[in-house]
Amino acid sequence: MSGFLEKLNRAAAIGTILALGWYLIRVVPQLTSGPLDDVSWKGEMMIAVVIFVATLIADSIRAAIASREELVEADVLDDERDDVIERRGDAWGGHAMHAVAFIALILLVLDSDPFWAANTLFVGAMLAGLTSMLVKWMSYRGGV
Amino acid sequence: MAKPTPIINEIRTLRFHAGEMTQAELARQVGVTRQTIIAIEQGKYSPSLEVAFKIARVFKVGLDAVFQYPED
Repeated sequence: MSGFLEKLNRAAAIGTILALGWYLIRVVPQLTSGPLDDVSWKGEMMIAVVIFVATLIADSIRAAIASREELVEADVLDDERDDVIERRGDAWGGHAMHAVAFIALILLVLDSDPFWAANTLFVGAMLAGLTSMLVKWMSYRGGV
Repeated sequence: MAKPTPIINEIRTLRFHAGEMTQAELARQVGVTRQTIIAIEQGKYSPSLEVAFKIARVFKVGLDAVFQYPED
């Protein structure tokens, strides 16, 4: 049986996958069908963020309801294993995000279209988040 | 990714001898979540020294009666 924080991690992963999937489905086909200036992406990016937040809130509530007994019984929410797993996942996500930011910086230095820098940051941040969540999931399941 | 810890433990046996103490009860007394006790029992998590001592104290035994680190 998974704990509350593991369920929260899963909720964030689901939200990220839904938001990123929706965004890519909406934007990538436009890249192959016309010039970059005609690509509509800013509104889609905002909607993807809304999808992520809405999914995260809904799944978090569901996780809290599913774990209500655990939350009531355990006056321990600062569990040491959770802390270790959290730190490990955040470290991996942080490394990934550093790489993403560096690539975006290079794109800006090279005066590439803002589309590429913005999308590198957005998609990269989502993937960095997924990396962090995957590491946490593997740690919860496989051991620390 | 993470390998199971080589540290073995006798928590399941000690719980049995403590009147079938539940994992939830042990978790409450030690101050961790039940998932952490499950992970320790299954060898998927090596607890901190502090938690290891707390577990031993619950069962009123020494640390080496709870955890062993076998030679290769």
